[in-house]
Parts: sequence; structure tokens; C-alpha cells
Amino acid sequence: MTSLLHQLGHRYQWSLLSILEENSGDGVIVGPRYMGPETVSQIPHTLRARSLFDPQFFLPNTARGKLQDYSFFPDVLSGGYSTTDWNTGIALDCASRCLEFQRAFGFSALVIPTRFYEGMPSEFIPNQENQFVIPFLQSIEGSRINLPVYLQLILTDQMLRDETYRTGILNWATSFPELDGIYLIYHVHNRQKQIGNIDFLMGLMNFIAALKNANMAVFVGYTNTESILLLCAGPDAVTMGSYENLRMFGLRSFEKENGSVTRGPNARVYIPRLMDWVDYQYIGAIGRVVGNIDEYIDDDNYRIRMFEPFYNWHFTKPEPYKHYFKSFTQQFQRIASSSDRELLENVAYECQQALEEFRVLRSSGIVFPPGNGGEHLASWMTVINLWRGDAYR
Amino acid sequence: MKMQEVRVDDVLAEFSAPIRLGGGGQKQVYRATHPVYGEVAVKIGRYSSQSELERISREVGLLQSIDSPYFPKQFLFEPRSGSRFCIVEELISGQPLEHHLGDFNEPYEALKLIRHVVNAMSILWSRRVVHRDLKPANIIIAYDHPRIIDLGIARMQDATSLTLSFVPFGPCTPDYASPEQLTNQKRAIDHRSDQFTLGIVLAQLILRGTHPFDPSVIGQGGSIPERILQNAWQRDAIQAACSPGIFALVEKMLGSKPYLRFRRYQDLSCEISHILEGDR
Repeated sequence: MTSLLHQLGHRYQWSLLSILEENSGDGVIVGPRYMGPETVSQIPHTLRARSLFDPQFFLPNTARGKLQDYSFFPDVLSGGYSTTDWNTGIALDCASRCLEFQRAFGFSALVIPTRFYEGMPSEFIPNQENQFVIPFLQSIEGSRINLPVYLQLILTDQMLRDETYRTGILNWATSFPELDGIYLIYHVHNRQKQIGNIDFLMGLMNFIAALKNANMAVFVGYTNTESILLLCAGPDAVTMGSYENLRMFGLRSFEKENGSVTRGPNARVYIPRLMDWVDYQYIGAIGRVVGNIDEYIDDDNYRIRMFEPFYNWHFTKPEPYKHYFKSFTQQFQRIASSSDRELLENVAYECQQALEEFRVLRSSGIVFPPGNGGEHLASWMTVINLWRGDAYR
Repeated sequence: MKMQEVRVDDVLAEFSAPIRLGGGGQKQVYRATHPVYGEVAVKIGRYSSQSELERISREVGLLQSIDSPYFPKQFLFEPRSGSRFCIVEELISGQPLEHHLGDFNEPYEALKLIRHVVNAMSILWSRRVVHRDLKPANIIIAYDHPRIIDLGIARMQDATSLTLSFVPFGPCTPDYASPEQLTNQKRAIDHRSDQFTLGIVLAQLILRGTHPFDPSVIGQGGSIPERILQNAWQRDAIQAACSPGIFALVEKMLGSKPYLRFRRYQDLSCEISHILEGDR
């Protein structure tokens, strides 16, 4: 059964409390951007043993935030990362320190980090191979670490949509017998909150299925609710996260600060029956249309607090996010535990139901903001139908 | 114009009882007796460039580093005057598989042979060496187990390529080449390319000698390499001739792209063992 991991970042405490106290989720993916080594060491060992550490080398020449506290981070290690100075000696030093950190802290596997590239660069494979993959594999070979090895791949939507490029990466990623799996992250340019691009979703699902067919474990990071759709392709794990930047991969929090002020998001609540997040201001209206909001928003301590008359909805308050972790875990695990034969149909049923719920709400006069009205669900149903019919595979 | 044969008399004078086994204009092969190594195969050839000499030298060096009964032992390698070279190696008695393609009555017998070849090739693959020309002519059927010969175009995956850049496809025998060799995608060539070639050989043995991509059987015209690029092979005939386990094996080995084949050579070996032991 596919696992559900917390992608940790800012407000990592919410995720940790959620999994440790309420058993929401199966593990975590730790990222150094917001957590120094001391903080990582405070995660219970038993939890680290079912979790991954993502070294987050996305932009290796920028050590922002807590990344500065890690001696293996390229920009810290070499006193300023540049591709020309990244020679074998530095790369091997980086690799051995980074791998030793993952081993010493008791994570379940070793993650070989790679960097982010925009678009579809022709040198993607040789650069990743020379700068990271080979040094890390050499370092593993020279060590006595006996853990599964996962290669991180950060792919853009263009890479995944283009069949030739996708094939090239698949041939390459499956060419290392030392690897046991892939830790996949995708970056969608100019994306909306939900992904509705059918070609991208089919390319992504094909990619995951091809890796599984090659007997590789597949962990998909930074996923939003499309993780339910991705179940059709059979990954080993997907993720959930509190803020959007943990559910939609982006570089903003890894880039050098430019002084611009980031506006906080509107507080939103996750509604399983809609398979989407809804702005809290719509909750009252939805309640009036459906009559019984209990069927829409799972009733628990968090909901009780959120529905108190003087609750101050704000993105810095934990209740909506902890509520999401709990609700989404229940929904996800219910579907993911389906038998192989029933899984696709159960995902389809969930999407079809959500599509219908949105239709009822709209026909009752509720007007959702653009991109927040379940538009992605029609695309998802199309993807499921194509996947079911084997048309793209 | 007939090419002048390479001069051999001065070299053979160092051996006794030479008997010609074969060869062409560029290379002659003799069976002879060496004062130290006894009965040996003597290959006397002509190289046309320094890179060709390097390639031959690499083949010999590779074989010298492998102490395996699956590969002929290499005793000597010497450049000779007149752009010639001389190789003295273990004499292998046996015939190339190309002369026995129709001799395998049962697919399981064919698979047993392929298991031997996979065992042999695992020695190379574990060193990240790709044979790139594992056709039936390079698999010698000996009394005990097959031998693999002609590693002349074998390539270390991380070695600098000696391949000429103007050839339309990489060094290979086109009728037994993988799609990535035919399209000269050097980066995509690894042990899975050899696996594809072995898939062709296995299918050909199952079909009692008919090439699985033979256009005269499949129809639609074209050549074998064209059919390989289209992944158009005789599925129905092979499916009818063997067990579902062997068919699934052939299908995976003949995957049109490397990532569709067995990722690790150990997985291929394991699958063959499972089939032969009746688990599939």
C-alpha cells in the first residue's frame, strides 16, 4: 500500500505533532532548509527510521536559512559553489559528509541529492551524473553503509511532457544497478493550486509506472491532493504538507532573499468530498446549501475550535492544517488500501463524486474563485479514463 | 580489387604445425603449437589506425584480466611490423552458434544455453563492460559450455569512446543490434543493449533459426534493423512455441527501450533460473 509522508518545512512542528500524537501519516521527509541538525536530532529515532532526509541541493550555490548549518551543503562546504570549482575532491567530500549524516541520524534510506534545472537542458544528465550521482555512488561504495539508495530527480513539467526527454531520463535513471529507488519531485511552471494539465499528469504517471516496472521504489515529494490520482500509477509513497510551498514544489524559499514581501495565504480548509481546499469564507455558504456540514468537514477537536464564533481564521493558526492532516490521511488510506483490482475504480469514484459535489454547489449559486472551483477534476477523470484504457501507456 | 592478404609466414615461423582455420584479407587465424603454451590459436591481423590497434589491445587486456572458462585465455599480444598484430590465445574447439540455430528442439534447451551466456556476460557486465556484438557467430558451442569471443567492440561504459563519429550507427552487427545501438545513442548503451541482443538470439533459437525480426516472415517489407527499430517481432509464433514464462522473458528482453528491460543483470539471471526451475 502506498505510504503517506509529511513533507516538513516551515511549521514542521504541526506535522510532527500530527504524526506522533494522532498517527496521521506514515513518516516524514525532513528538509534542512527550516531544520538545523539539532532540531533533526530531536525527532524520535523510531520516526526517523521510517523517514527520509532530503538534502535539498536544489540551488547548491545558495545556502539559505538553516542550510547554512550543514557542513555538507555545497555552498557551505566549498565556500561558494560553482560548477567549475566542483571538482572530484570536493564532490566526494560533500557526498561522504551528506551520506554519513543520513546514516548517523538513522534515516530509512540514503538520498542522493541533485540540483534543479529549468526547462529541458541538454546537459541535464551529464551534469547531474558528474556532479552528484557518481561521487555519491563512489562514496557509498567506499563506505560500509548498508541502506537502500534513492536518487532524487527534480523534473520540470516540460521534461515530463516530452516523451523523448522523459525516455532519456528513464533510461539513465534505471541504468545504475546500485540504486533502489527514485525520490521524485516535479516543478510545474506557472501552475495553479491544482494541476489540470492532462499531458503532464499522464507523463508523470507513465514515469512513475515505468520506474515501478523496473523494480524501483518511487517516493513522490511535494504532492498536493493529486497524490490520490497518482495512486493509479502505484508509487511507494506520496506526501502531504502544511503550507502550499510544501504541496507544490517551488524555489522561492531557496532563492537568495530579494527583499520582496510575501503575502500570507488566505486560510483554507480541506474538504475531502471536494478533493480540494476551500477558502474559509465559503464554509458558511456551503453549509447552507448542503444542510449538514458534518458530511463535508470531518468533525474533530480541530473543527470544534475552527467553528467557535470568535475563531480568528489565519494561516498561522495550526487547526486547519492539523485538520487537513487528519482528514486527508483518513481519505487517502481508505482509497490506498483498495485491492489492486479496485484501486483505479475507487480513485475514479472519488473524483466523480467530487465533480458532482462541485456541480451541485455551483448550481445552488455558489461561485468559486477561478482555479478554486474543482476545474481540475474533469482533467483528472480524463486521465483516469485514459489510464484505464491503456491509451497512453 | 581483391585486398592483399596479410603476411603471415614470418610470424608462423615461430610456431610449429600451423593449420589455417579461417580468415579474410585483414586477419588470418591458424591453429599451431607454441613452444610454451602448447596448442594455440594464432591471429595475425592488420590494423589500419592507431585507434584500431588500441581497440584490439583493449580486447586482449580485458580478456587477460578475466580468469573465466567462458572466455578464451589470452597468452600474447604483440604489434608487428607492417601495421600488423599477433594474438596468441587458447584454442577453443567448438562451432559458432550460428551453425546450430535450428538444433534446439525445446525452448528450455535454448534457455539453458542463454543462462550460460548470461553467466558468462555477468563477468563483463559487473565490470561495466558491454560486449555490443553478442551475435550467434560470437557464441562458440563447446563440449562443456559456451564461450564468448570477439570483444573487439566491447566498451567500458565510462571509457572514452573510440567509435568513429561518421558512422550512421554505433559499432555493432545491425541484425543483432539494440535500437539504441542502431540509432547511435551512446549514452543509452549499457548491459541492457547486450540483453536485447540475447533476446534476439533466444527468440531465434525458439523459432528454430528464423530471425524474430525477419521482414520476410513478419511482412511489411523493410530490413531487419528497420523492424528492430519498430519493435516488430514474431510475437505470435514465439508465444505459440514456448511457455508463458519464456515468452514473458523474451518480451522483456526485447523491450524497445532500455528501461523496459531487466534493470539489473542479476534480475535477468534470476528470472531465467526461476523459469528453468519451474517457478514460472
